[in-house]
Amino acid sequence: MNCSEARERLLNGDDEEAWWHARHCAACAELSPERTLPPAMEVLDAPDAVALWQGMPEALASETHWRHRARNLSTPFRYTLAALGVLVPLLTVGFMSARADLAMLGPLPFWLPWTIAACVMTVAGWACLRPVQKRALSPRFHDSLCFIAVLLGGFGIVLPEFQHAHPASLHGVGADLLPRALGCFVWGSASAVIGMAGAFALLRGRRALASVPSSVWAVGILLAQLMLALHCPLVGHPHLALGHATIGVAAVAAVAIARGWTHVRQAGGH
Amino acid sequence: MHDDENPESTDEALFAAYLGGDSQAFRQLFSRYARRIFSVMVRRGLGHTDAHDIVQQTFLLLHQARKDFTPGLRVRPWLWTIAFNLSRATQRGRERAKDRLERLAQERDTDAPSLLPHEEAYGVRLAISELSAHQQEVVMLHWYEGLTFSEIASVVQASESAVKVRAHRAYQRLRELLDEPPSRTGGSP
Repeated sequence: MNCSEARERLLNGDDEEAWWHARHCAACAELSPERTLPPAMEVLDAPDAVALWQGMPEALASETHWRHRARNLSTPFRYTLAALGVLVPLLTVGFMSARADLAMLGPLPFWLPWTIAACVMTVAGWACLRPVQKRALSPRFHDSLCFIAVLLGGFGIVLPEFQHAHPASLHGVGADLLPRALGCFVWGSASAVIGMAGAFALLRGRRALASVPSSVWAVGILLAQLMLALHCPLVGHPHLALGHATIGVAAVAAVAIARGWTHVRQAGGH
Repeated sequence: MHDDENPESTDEALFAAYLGGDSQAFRQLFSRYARRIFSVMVRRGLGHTDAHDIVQQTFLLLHQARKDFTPGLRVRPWLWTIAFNLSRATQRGRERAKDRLERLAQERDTDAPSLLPHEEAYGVRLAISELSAHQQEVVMLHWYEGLTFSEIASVVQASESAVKVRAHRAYQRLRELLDEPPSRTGGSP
């Protein structure tokens, strides 16, 4: 007698053979006569498998579309692609359009904080691409990563105080403030969108944009901050606040609005 | 579709066959688990539409994760982990399962006559909804689905001894709740 059969018979009433099974089986012991609970195997009006299957062939077929190919790759492959997706733009900027004062920046004031940011980005990438067959991380964990990403963007504002003063860093003040800040904001936002889109493409599941884990946004925000830190030499606080830190704030505001809107629609639907 | 064309095949054999290109094997796996996942989701307090959606999404995610599968792994814990992850995400921000059950009880004569077939089952479900989320998962998987404690441990990502402690406390609490007069457990309808 297998467990399922024994459970069925125990729940249906007296049965010597099933009792004997329950006395020797940890999984069925809870249903033994001495410990009995009221019937749990209630008959639910579940649709049959054919009805539940409706729509599945279309959903499975859509997975062959090129847009969905990436999320069907194995997890190690997805992690590798994600790492390349972050490293390639960073190395490109590092080699092709690095800030003029890069060589003069000290390891402690510049490289340490941005190495920490890169580590947080790695954790965010790991969190959002975690295999679906493992228990999901709590939304609070994802949200914390996003919060840290925004904080690190803001933290970048105070860093230049410790950095070497290079002539290139003295632009972006006065009348030059807005155009330069806007340039950095657009450039950084484009980097963030690329990071988010890459993570989104590798993310498994059928998701609305508003229900994407916050760690996806953290990846984008931190990629933008790292790209800007490598590219932009300006150290003026107003420039960094307006052109750099606002990227994280804008991303979080966009997510909050999208989630709020979805919540309102769901509440309306119920 | 028959409910189980080849009951002899293990889940792992079916999934391996699917990976080898046999799409019928996937359908067979679906037949084997779809109604069970649906029932557990409804017992967790989800509506029929959400439960149906979770069944489909579970198998869609299983399909997406197929290349992570290696011989020696078991399919059943994968399925339940995915299904519970989805149900947690669905339930988040919505009414609590207990509230929903109480609302359904009020509406049962009109909207959901088949959802609550008898008072005793309703009492059990209401009592289960009083348990913590961790305890509910363990009870669902152990009592309703017959997973072993080691399988449950891999689904909920906890040690086997932690799962046993949760199960023990959950059953103890359930007995207390079910021994109480109906009004104390939320009231039989």
